[in-house]
Amino acid sequence: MATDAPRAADSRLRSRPFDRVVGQRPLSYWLTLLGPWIGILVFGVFMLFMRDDWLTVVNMRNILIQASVFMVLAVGMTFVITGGGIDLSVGAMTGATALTVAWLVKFTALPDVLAIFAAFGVGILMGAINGLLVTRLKMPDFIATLATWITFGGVVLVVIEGHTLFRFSDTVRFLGRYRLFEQLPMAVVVAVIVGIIGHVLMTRSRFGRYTIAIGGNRKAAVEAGIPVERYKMFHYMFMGLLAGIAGVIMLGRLNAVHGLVGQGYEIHTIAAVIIGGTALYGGVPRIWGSIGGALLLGMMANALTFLGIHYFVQYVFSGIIIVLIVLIYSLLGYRQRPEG
Amino acid sequence: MASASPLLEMTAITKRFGGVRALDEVDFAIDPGEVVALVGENGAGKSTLIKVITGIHPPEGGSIRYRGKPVEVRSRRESQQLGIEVLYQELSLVGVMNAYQNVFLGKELTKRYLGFIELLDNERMRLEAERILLEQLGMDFRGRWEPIFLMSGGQQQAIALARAIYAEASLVILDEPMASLGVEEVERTIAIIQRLRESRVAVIVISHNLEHIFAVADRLVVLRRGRKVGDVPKDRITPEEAIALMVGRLEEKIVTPGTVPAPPREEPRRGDRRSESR
Repeated sequence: MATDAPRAADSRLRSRPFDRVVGQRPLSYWLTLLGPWIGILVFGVFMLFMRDDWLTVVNMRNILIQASVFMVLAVGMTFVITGGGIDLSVGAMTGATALTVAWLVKFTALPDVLAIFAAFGVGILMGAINGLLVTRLKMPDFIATLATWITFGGVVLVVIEGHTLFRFSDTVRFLGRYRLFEQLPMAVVVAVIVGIIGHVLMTRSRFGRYTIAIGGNRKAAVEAGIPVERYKMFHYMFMGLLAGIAGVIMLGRLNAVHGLVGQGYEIHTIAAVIIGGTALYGGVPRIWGSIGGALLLGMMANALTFLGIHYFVQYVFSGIIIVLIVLIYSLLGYRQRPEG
Repeated sequence: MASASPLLEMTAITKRFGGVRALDEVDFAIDPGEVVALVGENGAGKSTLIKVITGIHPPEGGSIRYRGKPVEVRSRRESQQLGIEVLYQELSLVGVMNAYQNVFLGKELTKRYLGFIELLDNERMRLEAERILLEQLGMDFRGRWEPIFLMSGGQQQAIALARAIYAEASLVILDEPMASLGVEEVERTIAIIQRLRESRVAVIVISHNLEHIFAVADRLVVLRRGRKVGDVPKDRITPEEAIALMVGRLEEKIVTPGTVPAPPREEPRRGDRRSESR
């Protein structure tokens, strides 16, 4: 409680570790923070009872590899959404960057490593286009990225002309297929590193702090002297870079790229972020929640395949899970944001 | 250094919007550690005067001296550099952030790791914010980690004031600071303003509530239709007179024992304000 305390001078200002961790946060705060992880646990136990061949090293690894692409994308999306935006073009960007690598190694003499970096560059460039539409042309984030979603996806279709490019070198497939110590998939390592970097950026950097400020109260951010538009630009470029990384992982995993690769990824990514507890209207990030959300969706996709349920049904289940989790969050009465 | 020289001295300020004279040769001065209430009906020119002080609307005529030196304030940035902070009715705070994050927003403290990685020093910002809030504003925010939108209006106001104090403001302008507060919180805000005065910060309060004004201000400045019609120490005016001045039943009342003629030249240095306020 705030009290009038004239005994200011002698009362020591010290750090209280218990307050620091638990503080005055209500139980509902912790439940939403742990939401996706509780979901993973419950779902895992359910699967254990359903199929005794589910919990195997190979299957767990498959789940992780499958989810890693979405983990990478979800970290970027957490920044975009927390800053008050949304990026619908991530799926198209992921496909486009995968195609960039494929096209460069198949049709040019560019070394494989450079082709990968070129894909990162293309990702950043596409992100910059999104950013320019939002900051310079003042388009609503939703409309701008809806337009680029269609455009980037269209460019991919035009370039690839209905073909499939396949079989790539180990260098190209490094991020998607390489196993560290013959066991640990590189894709998972990348996802974890992206998660750690995302977390540090969000909690310990100006970039993260200003992202929260912009999404939390744009007017106050402007008044505090924060260059809002520059940071919005960064969000989309960061998202583009991560889409590039996700695209390279995906290409390595599939060892092929066709015109429709990346389709539906935007829905999956946004779903992962929402399940993770990030506020859709900005200002409240949950980086690890997004990682957990991606993992939960990956587990579900894997389980449905395991249980012999058709792939398409996965969408129905994803939708139901989102509704359920958001419902639970709101029933808990945990308010993330001021109203309005 | 005594209060012989006004902190801010504005002479014959004129500002027009189209054909309307929003401010007509208005003189305004305030000393360090003085609390001046700016009153008047809607459209009397209070907001315009504040916007001139803060550089949002540079004036067409007149001169401004700050710490005895002629200055031109042409933007909010320039007024901030002089040490002028404004707290608007809708506080410019980020509701989803906690207290210290708001106090330090845009002025974060950082720490270097490995020589080149610059990260926010959250712990130091928290301790410093708690210290300002406790020692200068008498509010205990220790162990408060929740976002400030869950806090009361008075607590949010304290955070906004802590922001101004951290910015080493020498002049704080409060626009309707008590409009949305409960009784107890109004008292606390008044106490906070007293503390600001004690640390020699000049305070301009805009308010419609004469009761609050008489509780907190040293002097009343009354504007009517862009002209200054009243400038009176609190103990030389009654609320009835103030109202009469505002609505025009009383023509003019300027009593200026506190206001001093042009001060002897001195060279104040920026960054020296802390020591000055002790």
